[in-house]
Amino acid sequence: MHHVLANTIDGLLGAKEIDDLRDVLEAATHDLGFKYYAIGHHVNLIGPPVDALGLSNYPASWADEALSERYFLHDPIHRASIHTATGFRWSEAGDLIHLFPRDKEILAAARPHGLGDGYTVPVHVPGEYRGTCSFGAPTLDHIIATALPIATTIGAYAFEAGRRILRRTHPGQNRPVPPLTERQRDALVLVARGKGDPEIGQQLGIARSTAHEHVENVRRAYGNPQRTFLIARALFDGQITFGEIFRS
Amino acid sequence: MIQVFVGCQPPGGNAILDNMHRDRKRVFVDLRRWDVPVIEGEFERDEFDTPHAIYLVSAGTDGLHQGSFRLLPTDRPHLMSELFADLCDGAVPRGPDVAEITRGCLSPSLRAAERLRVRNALISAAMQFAMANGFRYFTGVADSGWLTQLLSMGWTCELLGTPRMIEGITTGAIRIPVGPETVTHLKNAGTWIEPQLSFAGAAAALAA
Repeated sequence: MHHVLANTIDGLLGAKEIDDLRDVLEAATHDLGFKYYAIGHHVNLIGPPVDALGLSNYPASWADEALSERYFLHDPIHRASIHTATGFRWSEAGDLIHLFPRDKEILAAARPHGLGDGYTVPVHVPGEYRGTCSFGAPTLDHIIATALPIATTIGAYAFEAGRRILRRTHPGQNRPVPPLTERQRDALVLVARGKGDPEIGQQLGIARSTAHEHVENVRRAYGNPQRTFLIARALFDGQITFGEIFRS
Repeated sequence: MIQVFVGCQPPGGNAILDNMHRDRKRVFVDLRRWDVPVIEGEFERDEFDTPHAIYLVSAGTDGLHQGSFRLLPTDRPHLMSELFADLCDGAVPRGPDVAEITRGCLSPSLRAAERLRVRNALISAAMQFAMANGFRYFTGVADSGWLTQLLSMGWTCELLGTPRMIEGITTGAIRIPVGPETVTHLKNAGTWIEPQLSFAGAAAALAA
């Protein structure tokens, strides 16, 4: 096996603290011929949840600009990563999504900070925030020949190492998905479509009180959140999907 | 409940296996565009679906396929030895205590939460089946998405060589140790579902 990959996996799986991951990723980034790495879940960077992973050695000047200009809210690379199951070069993001003028501005703004091109791998596991692992450099002319598959593999192991550490440091975040009956799930999808009990009853051909009962049982299974948070939670853990909500 | 079938059946030989081959066609050919053989226009079956293959299948009471895995004995030709040997630095791991795990398939009709439950039940069953039958390792060929899933389920995945780009997708050969330690990892990851294995399917298949 390529020595960079072997050493990096050993280092990642042996990491005890999140800071250990930084050192391992930093070394791997340079050994592969990249300059920068960023690995993390897609969350609002101004107030990230405690169980989200976010590690990067991107230059502070770029991080400041991205935060103050709120680039991360519609980062074209993150958006492109949702449209593919495999890694892609930043210069090819336009093949995956339509690049609006604002997207091109963001990509151009990163260049003076040493982030001229890069490679991003989507990391998506049900019940987890969507994530990506990116490696960047002024150009990709100096990366080693097998850098891209190795970078992809490092991304997979880095997330797992992060999960293990977060599980230890933030126990209890890993809540199981509550089992629902068919009817309860049907009702939940209708709640997500903005329907109230009368309409849910009508659409499912049941009494309004029965519809209410179904929704209340779902709320109970999720620990009694308000309906809006219930929907967010059920979308997050995969109980319901966006497709089901928008399907007419 | 997970049923174990020893040996494949010709189309029409067993309703549950037929449904599995139909879903495999939907997943691997229609959705993932793999270049693998399709029999009679509806069943995905390849040269490794032989009397020696073992299938772990989750099926509904109506016989509909929910999800399945195929285990191949590695002392016979299998996917890694025949098609992906160059992903291994050394010799392809083979022997009576090594099973190759392939064709992990979840029915596209399952809803998101169901998919997770069926997947977890299947991999827990695979682990129990392997421990009960003297296997010490699973091997497999995994693309980056599948590797991510395997790792997040808690499986220890040892790479057998440097993954390569195959048709634009990072693909590697892995080995997974089987044993109580792996069960602990699965439990820690919240993946373990106490398996309910049934060999009735196998007996029925053999009697047919």
